[in-house]
Amino acid sequence: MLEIKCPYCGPRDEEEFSCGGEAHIARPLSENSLSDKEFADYLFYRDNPRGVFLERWRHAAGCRRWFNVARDTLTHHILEIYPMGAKPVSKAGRAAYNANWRRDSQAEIAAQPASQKTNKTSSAKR
Amino acid sequence: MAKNNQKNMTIAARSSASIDSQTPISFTFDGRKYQGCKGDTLASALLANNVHLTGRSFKYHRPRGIMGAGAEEPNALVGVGTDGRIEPNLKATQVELYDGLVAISQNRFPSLKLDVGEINSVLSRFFPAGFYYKTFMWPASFWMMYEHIIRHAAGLGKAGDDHKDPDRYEKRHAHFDIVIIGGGLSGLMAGLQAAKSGQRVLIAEDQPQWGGWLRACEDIIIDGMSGQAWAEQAVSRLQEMENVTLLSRTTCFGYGDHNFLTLAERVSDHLAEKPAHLPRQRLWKVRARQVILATGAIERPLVFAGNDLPGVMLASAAQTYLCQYGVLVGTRGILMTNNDAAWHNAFALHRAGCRIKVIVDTRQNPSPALIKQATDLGILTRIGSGIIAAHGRLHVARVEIAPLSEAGDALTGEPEHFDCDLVMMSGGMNPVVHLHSQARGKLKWDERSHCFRPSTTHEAEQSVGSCNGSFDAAIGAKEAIAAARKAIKANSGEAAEITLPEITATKIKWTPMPIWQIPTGQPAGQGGKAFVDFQNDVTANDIQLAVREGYHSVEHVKRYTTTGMATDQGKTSNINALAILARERASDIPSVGTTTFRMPYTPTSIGMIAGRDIGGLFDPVRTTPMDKWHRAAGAKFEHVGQWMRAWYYPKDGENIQEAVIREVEAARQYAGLLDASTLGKIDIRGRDAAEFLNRIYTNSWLKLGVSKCRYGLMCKEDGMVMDDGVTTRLAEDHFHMTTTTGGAAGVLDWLEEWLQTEWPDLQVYLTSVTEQWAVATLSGPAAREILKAAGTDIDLGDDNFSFMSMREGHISGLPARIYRISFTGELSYEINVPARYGMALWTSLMRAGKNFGITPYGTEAMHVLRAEKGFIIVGQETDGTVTPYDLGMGWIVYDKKPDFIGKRALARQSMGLGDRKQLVGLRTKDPKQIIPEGAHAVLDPNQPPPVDMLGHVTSSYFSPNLGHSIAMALLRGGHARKGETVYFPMLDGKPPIEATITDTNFYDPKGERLNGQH
Amino acid sequence: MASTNPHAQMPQITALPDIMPNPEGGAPGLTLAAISGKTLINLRASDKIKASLDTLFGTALPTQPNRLSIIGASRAMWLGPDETLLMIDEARQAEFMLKLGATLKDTHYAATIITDAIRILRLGGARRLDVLAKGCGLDLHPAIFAKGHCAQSLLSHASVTLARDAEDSLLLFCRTSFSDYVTSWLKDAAIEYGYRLDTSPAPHR
Repeated sequence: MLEIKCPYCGPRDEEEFSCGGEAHIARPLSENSLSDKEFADYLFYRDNPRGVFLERWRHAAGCRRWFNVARDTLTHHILEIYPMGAKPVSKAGRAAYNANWRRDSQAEIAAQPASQKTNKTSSAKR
Repeated sequence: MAKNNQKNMTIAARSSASIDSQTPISFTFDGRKYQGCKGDTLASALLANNVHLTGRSFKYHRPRGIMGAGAEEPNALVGVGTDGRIEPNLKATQVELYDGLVAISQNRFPSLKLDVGEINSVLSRFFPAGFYYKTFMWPASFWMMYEHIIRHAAGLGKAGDDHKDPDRYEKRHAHFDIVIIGGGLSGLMAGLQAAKSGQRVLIAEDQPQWGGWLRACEDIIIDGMSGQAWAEQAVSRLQEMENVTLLSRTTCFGYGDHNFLTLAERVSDHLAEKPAHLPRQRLWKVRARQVILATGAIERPLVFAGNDLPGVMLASAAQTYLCQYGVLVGTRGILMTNNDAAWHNAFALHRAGCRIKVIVDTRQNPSPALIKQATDLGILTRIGSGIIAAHGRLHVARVEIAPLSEAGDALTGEPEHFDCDLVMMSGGMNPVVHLHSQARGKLKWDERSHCFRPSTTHEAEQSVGSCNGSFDAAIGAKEAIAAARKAIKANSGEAAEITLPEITATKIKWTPMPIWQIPTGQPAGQGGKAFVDFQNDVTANDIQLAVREGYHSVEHVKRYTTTGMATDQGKTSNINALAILARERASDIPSVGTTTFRMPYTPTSIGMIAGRDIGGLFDPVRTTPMDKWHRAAGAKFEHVGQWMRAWYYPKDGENIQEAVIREVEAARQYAGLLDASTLGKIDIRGRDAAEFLNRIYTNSWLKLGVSKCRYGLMCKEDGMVMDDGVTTRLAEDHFHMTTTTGGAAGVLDWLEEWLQTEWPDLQVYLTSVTEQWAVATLSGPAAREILKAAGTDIDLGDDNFSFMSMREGHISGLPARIYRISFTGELSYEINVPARYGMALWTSLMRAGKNFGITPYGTEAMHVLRAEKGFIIVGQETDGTVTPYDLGMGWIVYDKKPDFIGKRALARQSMGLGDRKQLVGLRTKDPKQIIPEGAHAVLDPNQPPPVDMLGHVTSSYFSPNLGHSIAMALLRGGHARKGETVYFPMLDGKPPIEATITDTNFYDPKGERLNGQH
Repeated sequence: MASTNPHAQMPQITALPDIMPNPEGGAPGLTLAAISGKTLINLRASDKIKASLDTLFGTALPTQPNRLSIIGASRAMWLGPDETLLMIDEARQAEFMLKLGATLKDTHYAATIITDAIRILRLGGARRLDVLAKGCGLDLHPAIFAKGHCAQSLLSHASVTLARDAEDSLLLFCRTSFSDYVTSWLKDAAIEYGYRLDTSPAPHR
């Protein structure tokens, strides 16, 4: 059983938490021109890496807050815990964030307000 | 010493510090009565009674005896107890004797001495490695029959009667700075260091007594004391310290992530009279900041023909029985060894009166001092030799000894024969690396000691002493102190000064010879069975055969031959099997690698794992404030999630159909009263509450007036319906949401998730108020009159209090919020009062409604009433694949809104296809026939398989108000099929049920009854 | 028929007596007493906003996670970064809520009375922590879960809030629908040490 350090309540047993799956999946804004296929990247496709995975957890039986965890799926070591809305700061966490295919997906681009949109138009990398 | 006298002789002569020979206790084994002493294990007591034959082997039913003295025992598995307390597959070496203990042998029929299964042994040419895989493979359809045969043949012991375990089991969470597993020399040393430094320390010892091998070791002196005296002194010092928890009879059987350890404490297994308040066993769930493993080592058997005969025993076990239990396990012994240490075991037995006839050493050059010592004692030695076969029927009687080549792989001379009743064997030591390995620590092969030792660790964990391959006492003690200091430092503690005790013991040069199988001089497969895994009946030949058949990976060989599986977990078998595999592959052991050690280290009882989660405490049972009334009224209950809800209220011997018909009719003719307290309720407040609801629900919420109610559907982001309910605007920035009973917790979590992770800018706060409010739903034409009779300050007239609105006031003097909403289609009020008044409200309404024919109804009648109206139940009409459109509820989706959860997904091309399963009503041709829920619809009942299935029935009831059955179904393209006939083939061979596809709103389709005027 | 389990029957909660003597003699290891006459308010507000209630409450509301503020008969438990559970005497409720509303007017907050939703038990006795440790994974060591600490966690399968507001006892909060389960569970778990349940009438039933 993992021991997870809730950013508020401190170390607690895994059974107090629920896992919310992959983190950093931005929700496309409603005004967008995504195709069904591109939208499916947001809706259905999830990463399942062997190694560092950025995922969301919630302290369900405690303070009920959501937070992000960088966890190595191979070793179960927790590298970093950081708040919702933030990005990982550890080297491995940053690398995992940047390496995720989603960064280039149309769904993610469509999630950014117009002012922040990059000029990337390449299709999603797999 | 003549054999038939031995029983009395040994009992009288027994003396050791671990047993109390003044306190004889009696026990039975296979129905025969024996005497043992306090402090005995079942194994030591049986041996003291000269009982060696304790079981039949798994596959071949060969006679087996006691081979070890602890957790490693592969043979002597017994069932202990009677009736509901029978526990099978216990190792006799770990069962503490108590007065009246009842033990039985296993895997024998009809008796231990005469076993018909022994024929398997004669037939063993046909019972090779992978036998199950080969024989039971084809044809696949026979598997059902094979499985029956295998299950009968497999399994050793039999468990006690189902559901009759009379014992209590406990669990306990605990947190420690340092956890030490093993209470031998190294464990106690580490414990003293850690404890003196103020750390919170747990030391767990598997055995009843502390000290580990110190208790079986004759010659060790620590600080001028015997090893055992030192251990006792160390433990009494530790016991005095508040920061120390000492657990004996406690096995750490699992090592999980992040230093989470599971330990099994045997609290009262060893007591003849088990106090009612004490648990039988206690499961410790321990989180440790640092772990020190001091789990010792297990002696390796040697692989030679007949090595499984009763009377063939590990050399260290023979010494343990002598020193610890005062039992001499034979009268004429032979030792075969590949190392120096076992010579001392033989000397100890010889001095105690077991005549060691020959010491056989497979090495060409053992220490001359040992040879001289043996010669002085009158023991013959055979150097560079091996036992090539042991013979006997139910006990070893004779061995053949022959000279071996230097590598030990061939015979170089003719065999000699020796009579004996004991063969001691020692093939070196295996450090107990199981926990280290469970913790995903790596192992390395030690070329000098020929064993696997821990190398790198994965968790905050260290191994010390024998389990680290440090077999020398002084080195082990030093290691233990160093490890404890390292752990203290890692915990930011300060290590206290502690002096290393002075340890003197016979110096043993630890240079065993790598010899993994004693040759027989005969072709493979002949010359007798040489066992590698005694528990699973795997021989050296089986492993050779597996390699010949192409199984090269250690994991494959393990599964194909079953070596190292089951409760043994490779304790005695692992290295010999790996070595033989390496030899057959012309490789070496490190390249072959080792299999994964899995938890549990030793078998654990299911009762302990279940703990108190049984019977009434299996799962929380949630009850409403009116629960006692329902019980007093004789209601039948049903589980809805964890809630207990009144299901129906049978009267005068009614069955469920009769009761439900009465309740359903009453609700439409007079009035029904339902306990709806279990509905999920969420208080929603904040400037952006309406905007939030507008994004959560599919319909529009911004313009809902204060005190007005609205029904809403929630979808998941994929557009599938997840929950529904009525939400009421209490104030501009304040809403009261209701959810389904089962969905309450999930919906609150769902809403919080969106607020915290996606829309943190919205000013909305949520609070669960499910239990704050008790809810009684009054429904039926007389509802308004009953409210008036109960006394209320609310104007119930339609002008003031219209459908889908809320009024606050009092009912029978109780503060109430009344929601005029309807799940029955009748005039209906959901009356909410603070939960403390729930019972008062209920009884007051029942009293006020007496003259109006008020009838309490349960969840079953509620289901029928809503189905008559075609109202869905989320989770019954939906299953996570159903959209609002599929339900025919497109009217509730306001897609002009800029956004709501599921909006984009509902616009996907695939959502608009006509062949989605859609909700329709069904009317059977025969109005009395009720289609079973879950029944599948077909267009042509005579179509040969594969039959094209349209969908399934989600709800189905007899409607007394309509006089015919009604059903709802999800059918492919159902909305376009209204008026078509479909058939429901029955499983029981009866003719298919014929039905017509209809609308779902069966009753009062115009909704005229909502106002109670009709 | 509905698709729900037809085998469901009456709850079979272990029927244990209210008093179980300590098998080793002496005082029962666990005492349980239902607390009534209190109002519970679930307060949702940021630290900044809730600070304006310090005067009304009588002392500073907790801003540190898992901490408890104690003033007279009132308690305030930190539940989350913007969530606090207030316990005050029921007699003060009307005035307190009125003043709270006035103080927090025009701010983003929610103060919801949940008195009837929560059952409060006071746990005493020398073995109270041993009983809790049977079903709760918190480190309850007195030096760690010290006076002034509170925590939300699980007791077996029920969510509970524990608040150590005294040296020799602590408060346990659970949802009322779980209170039969929690009480039965505690009684069953305390058989080893003996227990006494004070049977003063529960306020909500």
